Amino acid sequence: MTTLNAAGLLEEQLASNPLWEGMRLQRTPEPCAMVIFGVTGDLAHRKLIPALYNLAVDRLLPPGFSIVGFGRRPYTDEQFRAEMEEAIKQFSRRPLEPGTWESILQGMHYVQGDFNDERAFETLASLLSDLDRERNTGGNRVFYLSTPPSTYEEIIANIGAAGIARQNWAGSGWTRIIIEKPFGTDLPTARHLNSKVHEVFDESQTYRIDHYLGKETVQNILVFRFANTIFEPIWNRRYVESVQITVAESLGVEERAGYYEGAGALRDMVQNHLMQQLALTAMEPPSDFEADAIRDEKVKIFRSIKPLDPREVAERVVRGQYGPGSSGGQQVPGYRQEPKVSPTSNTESFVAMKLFIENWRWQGVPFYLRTGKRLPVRSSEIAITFKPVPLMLFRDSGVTQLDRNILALQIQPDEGISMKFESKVPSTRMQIRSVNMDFRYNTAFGTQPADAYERLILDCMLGDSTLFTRADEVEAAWTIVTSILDGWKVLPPPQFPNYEAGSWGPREAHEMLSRDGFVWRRP
Amino acid sequence: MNTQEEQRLQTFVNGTPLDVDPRSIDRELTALWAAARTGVEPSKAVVRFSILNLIVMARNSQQLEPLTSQIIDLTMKHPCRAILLVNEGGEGASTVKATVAAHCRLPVGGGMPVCGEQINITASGGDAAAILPGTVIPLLTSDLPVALGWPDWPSGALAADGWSLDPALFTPLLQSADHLIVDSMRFGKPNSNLVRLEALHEQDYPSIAITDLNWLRLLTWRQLTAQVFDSPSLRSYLPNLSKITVRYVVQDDRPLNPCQALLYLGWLSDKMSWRPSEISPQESGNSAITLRSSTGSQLYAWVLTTAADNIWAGDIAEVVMEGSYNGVAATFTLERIAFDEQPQADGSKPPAEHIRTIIEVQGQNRIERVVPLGKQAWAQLVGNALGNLGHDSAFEQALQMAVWMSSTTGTKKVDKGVRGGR
Repeated sequence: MTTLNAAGLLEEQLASNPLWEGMRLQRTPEPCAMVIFGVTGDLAHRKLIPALYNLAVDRLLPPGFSIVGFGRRPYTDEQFRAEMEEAIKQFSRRPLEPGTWESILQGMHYVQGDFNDERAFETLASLLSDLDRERNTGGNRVFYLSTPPSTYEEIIANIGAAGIARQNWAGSGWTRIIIEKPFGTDLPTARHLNSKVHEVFDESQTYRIDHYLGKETVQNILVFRFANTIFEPIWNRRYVESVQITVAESLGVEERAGYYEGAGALRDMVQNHLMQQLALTAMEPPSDFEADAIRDEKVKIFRSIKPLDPREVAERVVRGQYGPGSSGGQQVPGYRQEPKVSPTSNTESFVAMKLFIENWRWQGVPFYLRTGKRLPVRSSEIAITFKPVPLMLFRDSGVTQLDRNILALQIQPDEGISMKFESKVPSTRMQIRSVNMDFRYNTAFGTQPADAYERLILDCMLGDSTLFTRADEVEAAWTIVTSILDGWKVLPPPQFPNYEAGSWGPREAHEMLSRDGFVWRRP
Repeated sequence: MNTQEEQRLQTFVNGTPLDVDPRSIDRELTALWAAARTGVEPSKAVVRFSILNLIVMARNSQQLEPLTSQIIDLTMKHPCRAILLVNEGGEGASTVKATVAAHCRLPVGGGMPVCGEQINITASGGDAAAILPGTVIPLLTSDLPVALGWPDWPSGALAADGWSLDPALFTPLLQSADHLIVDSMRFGKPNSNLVRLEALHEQDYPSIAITDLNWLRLLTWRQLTAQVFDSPSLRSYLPNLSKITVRYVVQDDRPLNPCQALLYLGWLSDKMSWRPSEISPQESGNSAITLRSSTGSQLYAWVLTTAADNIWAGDIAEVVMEGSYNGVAATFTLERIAFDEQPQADGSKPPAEHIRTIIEVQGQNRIERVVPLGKQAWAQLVGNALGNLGHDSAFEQALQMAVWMSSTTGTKKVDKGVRGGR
């Protein structure tokens, strides 16, 4: 039933803000506070604080928005603010703008404590309560775990114990948590972590972040597929011969050896970034553009990929580790010579694999995935190779071979889409050559896309979980990856290093494709 | 390519206007682009790119230079085929002159320069207005949208219908366009031009989407106003507002222009289903407007002038909304400010490029926030307009309300509903 209030506006109209109707702008969230655990760490400095600052400059944060940093270092509010100001000066895509920054400072606080210190969480609860009153944040909070994965459980448990995870705990408002990757190290640990999260937060409150999904070009995969009519009819086993997904890095392990040694390329890249790109490329059209409709379809893709047994792992998965070589015109050390890496390390810095999606659309179409460090270039792309023409019509004219049509979606850098097709070379005789039709984002739009973290943090505040991974999605992806990890446990140890820094990976990765009559693309 | 052709190509690619035969503009452009694609040297090759046709009517040839620099800015994000027109009028036989130029930018992240193109067409003589459309329309690139920019509206004597844009020129160009871009900030007769603009949309060309750049200047004001009421506890004040004051800037050497203030108030009234019941124009551009909600309760809106030399004449300087809910009074203020108070080198005040939001609820802490107003240059606003080429129903409704509030002569009792509805 609807009722009229004193001024005559229907109360149901007031459930949402009528002033946003027809506004051709990104909506802004309700006033809220964001608590960043591990705020003195690298991610917060490089990404999170600059992202929040840029959202403020773009007027996408609400009045009263507040930031609470939580960390072990004994900072005062003033020291915390000064350090964050330096972070913005160093890492923001925009210069520091005093007016906006001073407004942010009014709502910026620091809580010092260990992640297992219950009293620090009580202090946090008290501060959040003060902010509700003084800054009108209305009981709305986002908790961001920008900490090592080993701390997730105790932070989540302490948030729960302090009573600040509940929805509507102050009579109104919402509470959400953003959890950074890696979410678990295999299927059992992911399940365990999910159960610990769900003891405190329900799934609708949980936002597992994969920053790859915040990239414009990754989001454009869905627009490309479902906002155009011409591609979807050929997006299936009848026309597609194979799909290659490459995420190549030219850098080595750099300063991440402490984490990377225990993770490797399979956990660090395949379980999240590559699997997400695979799902967006292969999924069925969702029933609508709502978060769960899209995530339902992604889960179906993961469930259509059968876990690999050890024999299949030996045949269809290649792992590698870079040895010394050259990159960017300089000699670079091998993985085992990197700082903080064991000289006998068997951690893989390269993985290539062949997967099959066993459903009506993709039965029999190989999906080749490849990622690695110290490859010749930094590049991410999804390349769809189409089947050859059914009849060689031009054979009598001397044309003996036609190249396949290839549609390549470049994710980074040089974001764009290119289509390779055959064309007649101008001459009096029949000559055919491949040509490329190119679309480049930077040519068409001339604008620098916002950082992925800006989009994802804003989406979380708005309650839109489309670009975050759901519990069942994470577990389904881990099911595939864990089967590979299990296979490796029973297979003979790898002979590392097996590719030179600056090359395109181990010989076995190329042989895997050549057995199928393909070659890896050179992105 | 001989030396003369090379020089011609360099002139074109550098953005300097190159004289071309007005009868063969397209052919000359095609030849120039073909040469530019390969470049005099391979390292100087460029890419031609266009996302739309943009026709802009300049008031006179003196405007060509400033408009050109704005089109260069626009090309940074929206490479297009821009066609600038000048009708020099005059007597005797008509003549047409044309120039072409490329505007190039380096893409973000590197690559070959991306270039749009600009064609200037100047017609003079007795039939200038009549021959311009025939020169322009064949130049429109097929399959790309056509936006017609008509920045200046007449300030001279108006025809009986309040309209004196030359129909021989305006009508055929508008009929070829998908989108009309105007700027009510530059209306010569703000109130009657506003009425004419609404009629253009409502009666004459309902299929053509209209963008008023002045409406786009309001985007930040509307966004910040909406944000104030995103908090559920403050949203209850929205239908309980009793007084709204919108102050717009006047300057001695500039004509009064309340269009932005009226569009803001029109937007707010439309979204809240308030209808004007009485309009009492005061002296010197001020108005008192009584609004009535759908249940008959009243609130009072004031559109007032204020002097400021660091804000453009016609821009809103301040919005104050006052109301009470459950006996607790609240005031919501949005004000243009110069965050840096230091005077400029010439002693003048720094431009007011920020908006401060102040939320004051009786018995609670005052909440303040400062954000940048956002870029308001012509190229930026036109770029925003090009990002959304469809009908903007929020604007169309706000315009309708603004027209009703724009009466300047005598107290007007509004005894019927505003046409249309949400």
